[in-house]
Amino acid sequence: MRAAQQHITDEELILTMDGELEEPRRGAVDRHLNQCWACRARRAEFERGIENYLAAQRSLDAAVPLPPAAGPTARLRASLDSAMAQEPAGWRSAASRWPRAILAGAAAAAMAVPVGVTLLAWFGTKNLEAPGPLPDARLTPGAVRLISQQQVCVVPAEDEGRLVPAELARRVFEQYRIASPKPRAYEVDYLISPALGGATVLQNLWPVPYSDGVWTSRVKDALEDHLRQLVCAGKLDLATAQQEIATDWIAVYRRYFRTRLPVAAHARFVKDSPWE
Amino acid sequence: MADNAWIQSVRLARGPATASAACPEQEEVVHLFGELRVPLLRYLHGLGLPVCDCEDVAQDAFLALLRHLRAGKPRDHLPAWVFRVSRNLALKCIQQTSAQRCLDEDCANAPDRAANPEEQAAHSQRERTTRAVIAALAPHDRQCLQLRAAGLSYRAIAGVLDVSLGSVVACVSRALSRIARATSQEK
Repeated sequence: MRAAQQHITDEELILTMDGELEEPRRGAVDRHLNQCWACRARRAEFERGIENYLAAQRSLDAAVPLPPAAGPTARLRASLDSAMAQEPAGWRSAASRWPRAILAGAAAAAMAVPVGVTLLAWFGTKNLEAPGPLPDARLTPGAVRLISQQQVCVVPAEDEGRLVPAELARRVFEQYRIASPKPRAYEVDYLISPALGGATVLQNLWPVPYSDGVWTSRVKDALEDHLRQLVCAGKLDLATAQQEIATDWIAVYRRYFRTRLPVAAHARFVKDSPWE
Repeated sequence: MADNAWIQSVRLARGPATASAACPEQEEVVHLFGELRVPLLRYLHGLGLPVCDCEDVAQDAFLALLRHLRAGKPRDHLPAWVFRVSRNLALKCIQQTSAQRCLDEDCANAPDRAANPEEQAAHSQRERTTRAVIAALAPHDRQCLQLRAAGLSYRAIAGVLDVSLGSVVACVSRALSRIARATSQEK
């Protein structure tokens, strides 16, 4: 019988099943399928293969659960926002490198909090000369880890990693267009400190010159400690503390310590080491 | 409590700086991310990447997609574009630092490939046979199947894997008939 020579090839059968066979050939294949049981049986076999594949794949997938989408989606939104904010200055290929170590401390790890870093992009209206006691809000809007009030207080403040990796520090200087920073003249400081949930990312770091007036990073450290105490004592909301310190920490300092100039003891407050 | 932490931070992030609303590409990227994340992670995981690294690769790929769209580049077959870029990133990651980046402590702690014996026993004989066939497939054939299951057209798969259309179709038909044959013999 002639039909045997005209049987549809496996490839054409697959393409037909998925509607991807081009038109002139398609009509011929359809006609053949109408009359040929053998080819229809092969098509059914392929369909069964698909069915079995999906069932097996589903059970394989079930063995490797994926984290819920909310965290990664928020993380993506944050990096898209930050990419858009940086766009006029040109794309930086490294902009998407986010740290994965989000929740520090074993207690925090035990709680199944979705992992992700969320940017707090508070673009202030001020247009600041950078660097100085206040960062450029466009370059350093502040970024936090997803961490709750309780988690912030579980880990002792001094246990929070405060050391900025050398490569990241280099990029911070680069971002602020400081070509060859003098060693020990700056501290690469967190806008929102890790003890308050701040993230170790470019958007939360800026170079603070030691020589720059009375509002030094040491004074800021004193404020951070104070805010953390308030947060852990339940007197201040963590989000508010983060937002306050990210907007204008000097104004916040003045308000909390009721003073126009830094308290003398705070100026000597030594906590972090300089950038070398 | 964990949920509260989320809501709080997400709300803050969307707070005063809603520049995102002004950018339709950004919304498009997020929308596509919602659609493709699961099949993409499954695919990348199938390439041999731990889940948390898959997540990183996906993030990078979608960030690149924003760039792609903002630069006014072609927007047809965006899912295929995402798969291709992710695949390249994943292969690079696997290649260059399998020790350092791909196996860091977070990944080591993540529940990965939990081959639980009781769970396995619960599967039907047919499912086990199919799994064995899938495991025995050439990696390339397995990838073709996975991409097709993710909804990509054969032409798109050919673009992702950088092979000819004919070879993709041949892979899929070969793999499917192998699965069908193995399971029908069983009965």
